[in-house]
Amino acid sequence: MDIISTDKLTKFYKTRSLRSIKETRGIENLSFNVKKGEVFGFLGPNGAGKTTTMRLLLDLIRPTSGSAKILGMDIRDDSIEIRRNVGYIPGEINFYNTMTADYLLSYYQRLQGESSVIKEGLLSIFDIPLDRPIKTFSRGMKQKLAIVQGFMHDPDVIIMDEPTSGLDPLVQQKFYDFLLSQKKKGKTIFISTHILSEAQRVCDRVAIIRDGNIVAIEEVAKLQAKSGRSIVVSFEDDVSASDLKTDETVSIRSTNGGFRIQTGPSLTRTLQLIAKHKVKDITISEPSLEDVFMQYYEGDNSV
Amino acid sequence: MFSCNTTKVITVFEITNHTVREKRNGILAFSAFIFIFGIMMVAAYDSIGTELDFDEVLESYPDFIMEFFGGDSILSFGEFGGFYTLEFVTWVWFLIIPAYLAMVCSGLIAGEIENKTADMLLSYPIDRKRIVLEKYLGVLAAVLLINLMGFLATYVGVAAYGIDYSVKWVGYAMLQATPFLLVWVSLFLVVSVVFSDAKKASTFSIAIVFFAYFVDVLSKIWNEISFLGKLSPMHYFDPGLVMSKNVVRWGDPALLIVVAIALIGLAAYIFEKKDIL
Repeated sequence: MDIISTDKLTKFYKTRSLRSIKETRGIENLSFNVKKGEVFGFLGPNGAGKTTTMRLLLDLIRPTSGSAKILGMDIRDDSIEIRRNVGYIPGEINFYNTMTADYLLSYYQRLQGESSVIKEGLLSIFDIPLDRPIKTFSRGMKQKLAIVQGFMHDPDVIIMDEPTSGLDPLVQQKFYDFLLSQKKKGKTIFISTHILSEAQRVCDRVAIIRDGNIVAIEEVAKLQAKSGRSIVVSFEDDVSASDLKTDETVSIRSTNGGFRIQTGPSLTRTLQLIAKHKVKDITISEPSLEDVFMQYYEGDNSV
Repeated sequence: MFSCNTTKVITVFEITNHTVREKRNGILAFSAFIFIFGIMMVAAYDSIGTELDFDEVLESYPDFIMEFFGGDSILSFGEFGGFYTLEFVTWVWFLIIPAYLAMVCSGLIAGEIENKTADMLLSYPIDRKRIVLEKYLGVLAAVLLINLMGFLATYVGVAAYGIDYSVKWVGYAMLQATPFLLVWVSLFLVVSVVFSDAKKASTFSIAIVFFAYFVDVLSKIWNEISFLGKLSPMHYFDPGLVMSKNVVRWGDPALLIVVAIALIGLAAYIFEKKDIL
């Protein structure tokens, strides 16, 4: 069953100046669906349209054309009903600064009109100084507070816009574990991120979005298989780029005293070729988001 | 199997409550200021109003100066109702209180959008119209408190200085001031939903207050633009008529109530349609 589905969802922002109305694209013809119990990721650089999509789903902004449904209900007509069952963690987090966290959570709780079943549990994972005014909070504390308010009414669907930004690695880890426990409970999670490893870590499927369009929707396992590796290597002996080229190679560039090799999913033969020489230094890492995009774009062109 | 059905009723007036709580200190301080100022004006009447023959002085001024200070009816400085209208109620209720309310109201919606607190608020299951109405009710409480302070100041002052004046006329004037101020509040909320920037909304709102005031004054001394004066809310609130001439008419306040309701409907409609950017 589709919990979230969009049909050619499109948003153009109108900016009015004195002389003209300018239109800028938010997203264009976005169609995707998120299944029950799935963690669905929106992966893309800043300005790709991730936030636009999420704000459309919550009826904060209205589509220029196209439509979307959450839990089978229309995002425009049944927005209030939808919001009873959806938690939201915005990308840009701001609270009423003079309020204490405790006051704020109980205010939101009353607005939700639900008894908060899991608030205490959440607060034991994401500890927040409840009795202090929010203006004294660090970025990370505010983020934790936003997470607690998003989950505390135990919604079936959670929409999160880059929820780990500002969290230290330890809390990030706790957050990922918590997400997986929510997934096990059958919650549907829609998360945006610009960090590939984060998407790989928590998501079942990922939509790669760029310039307002979905470039690909991929299962994370496949994305990982396709995404290959980046190898940065330098040698003590004389090596030319052609000595390292195999059918695994996606791209190869010489850099300061070495090479940067982008491989496909397998890197056995590349490593064999490298091992024939005297290696001074080598780093093998996951490709950057940019590299992944290049791969998908190049894939499109070659077909 | 028995299943527990959670009740999904939002506590009533939660946002009103929050609005009042947020603005409480400012509103209390401002109401105290009105109270103290009111008593001071009663004291001023007691010490100088009875000694000087103001009316004689004023007769030497040209008519338009009198219109500028007085409104429709030429008032007498010499008696308390006239003095109090001219020196206190007219400009405090025509300029200072609307300007203060402009600052309070402009932040109510535009402030939430500007500070991005609107994002989270609107992710909860609340109708946007309801948000506008509940915030309006919060300011209504402030308006009632301010007018009550205006009345209490007179009541206490008149009693303390033993001035021969029936304060019920101030009571009537304050009752009529309520729809007058509510028209302003509604208008400010319209401005607040149109602008997504609290400072711009506030500046624009205060500009409207001063513009409406001068239009009202000018239209009384310059007959060609008398039709323009009818667009100003000040045209429909005449505290001098009540407090000095002791004439109470309810037609204008009724009209102001209708206008206030129409404007608040407009504010709710615009907010409902608006993209929260």
